[in-house]
Amino acid sequence: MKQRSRSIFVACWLSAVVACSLSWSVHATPRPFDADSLHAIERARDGQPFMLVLWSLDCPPCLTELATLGRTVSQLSDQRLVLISTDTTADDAEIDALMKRVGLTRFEHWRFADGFVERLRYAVDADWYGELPRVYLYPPDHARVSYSGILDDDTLGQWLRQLVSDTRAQE
Amino acid sequence: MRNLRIPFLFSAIALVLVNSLMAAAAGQHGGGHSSPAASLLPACQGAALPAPDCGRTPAAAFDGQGRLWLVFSQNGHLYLTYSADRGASFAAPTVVNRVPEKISDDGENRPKLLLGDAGQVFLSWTVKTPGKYAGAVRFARSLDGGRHFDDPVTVNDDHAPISHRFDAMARDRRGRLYILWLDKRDLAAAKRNGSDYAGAAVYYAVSDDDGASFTANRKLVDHSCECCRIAVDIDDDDRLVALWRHVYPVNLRDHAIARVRADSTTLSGEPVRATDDGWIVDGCPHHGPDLSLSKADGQAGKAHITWFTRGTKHRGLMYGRFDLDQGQLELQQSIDEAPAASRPQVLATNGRVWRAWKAFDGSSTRLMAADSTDEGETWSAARVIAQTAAASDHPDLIAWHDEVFLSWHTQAEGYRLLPITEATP
Repeated sequence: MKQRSRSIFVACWLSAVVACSLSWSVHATPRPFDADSLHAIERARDGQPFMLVLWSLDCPPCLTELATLGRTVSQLSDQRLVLISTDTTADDAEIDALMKRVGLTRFEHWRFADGFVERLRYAVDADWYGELPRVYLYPPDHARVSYSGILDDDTLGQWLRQLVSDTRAQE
Repeated sequence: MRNLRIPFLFSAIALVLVNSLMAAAAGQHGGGHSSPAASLLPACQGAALPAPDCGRTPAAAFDGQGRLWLVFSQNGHLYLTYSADRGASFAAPTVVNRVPEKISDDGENRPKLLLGDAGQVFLSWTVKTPGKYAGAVRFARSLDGGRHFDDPVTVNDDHAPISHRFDAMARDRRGRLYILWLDKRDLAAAKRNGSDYAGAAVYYAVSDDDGASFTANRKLVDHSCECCRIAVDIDDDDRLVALWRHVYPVNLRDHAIARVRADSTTLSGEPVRATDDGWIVDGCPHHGPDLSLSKADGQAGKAHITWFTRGTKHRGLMYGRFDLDQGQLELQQSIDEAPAASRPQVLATNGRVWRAWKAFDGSSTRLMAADSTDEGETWSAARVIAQTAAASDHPDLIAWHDEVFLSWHTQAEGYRLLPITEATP
């Protein structure tokens, strides 16, 4: 009996460690964003509001934008913000470090899966010219609106308030 | 206590195992520190030997004998090679930088190649250095037709761990070599003083001894956009002409153009606004202009320019003809308004102007070209020169006398030198 309880204890401990480790690994590595990924992101938030932010390590204004978001999105639950980096696999460690630095690790982050950027940009938005940062606000019906460049304070404040109120209306 | 040791041991092993599995999975997905594979060709997989097909961001130029020279980036090295048969086959590449570096080898930020007429090979490029957006501008030369390269030198003389990137290079008829780049030393100084500074600055250095030494760094202009390439050419009076995306107050990202005096020391007059599209954005276009001065008789001081904008007045890829003496854009046309169109290039040869760009239809990228025999007033119908269904590099227009080519690297097909002169109706 004692032996059995120890086995159960060990098994539980192991499961917890494995689960914890898996979830840590998944969150610490950006997900590869391919031509179907936006649909997956939207489907997972069907009928729910969220904000989508495209950025790259090579874009100094993007860092400003991410730092601002890190300071202002404390009221948003984890599913309300999605980040997509247009960088490459070689940049994953740097992307992770930046997410930690700006305090955005709890949100889903993705990174362009390959160098065929025309196709991936087109999958995000056929009307987007590739400028960064690029931000979309999705209301619950997903009739999204877009913004290019660093969000000005008024727009960001208004969008965040709308996200919070739309989320409350859902609950 | 003893009872706890076993679970701890197990958990430690499990943690290591799971994490190594995850790391392996990430590795299979192309993780690691090198740039992602430049090519899908079987010959380029794994530890491929340096080759134009397998490298990244090739820069091409013809020498006086019509041989095609190519420099490309692969695994932290730049390699130089040449082809005597217009790109059908290449000589064994020679390595430029023996010590590997983090070479910037993406579309907008890529190595540059110039050839002298006595076997000189000049290369400039940007390396990533530790720190946020930090980079240094590098230069290397060969005086024996690329057989040996001197050790690379860093051209930015402040050696600060800040951004010096997006290098450009030009050589005038007297052999004076210019290297320009986007530099953030003034932004860093402003930050130290607690003040603001919009964008970056364009700095340059000059060598009049074939790259053996360079002048102290000089500032060309304040407040350039910080992530778009600079376009350069040399005019009939041996003056450097530069075109760059500027940051006009406040965050108006139109282009400016300027000439440097023939003695290379200062600007010849103030920079002039070259484009007026009304694009206000506090962001990165990552999409710089191109420039080629007219070669036609009686057209000295006319600059053919191409650029990208998303302004309130115009959108997409644009072509224009700028009169440097009058300081006016005298012609402006749309090349392609589609959001996915990119990298407009322009090249003036004697009696003809060429423009080329990438178009995208939702599944494949088409390399397009058109030409004009009346200095850009009217253009041939756009022609599809090549296409690809995977990732592709930026194309370059290059000429051997009146023969014009597109130099293009694509992931699925490798490197191609595509003649476009023949295709003219």
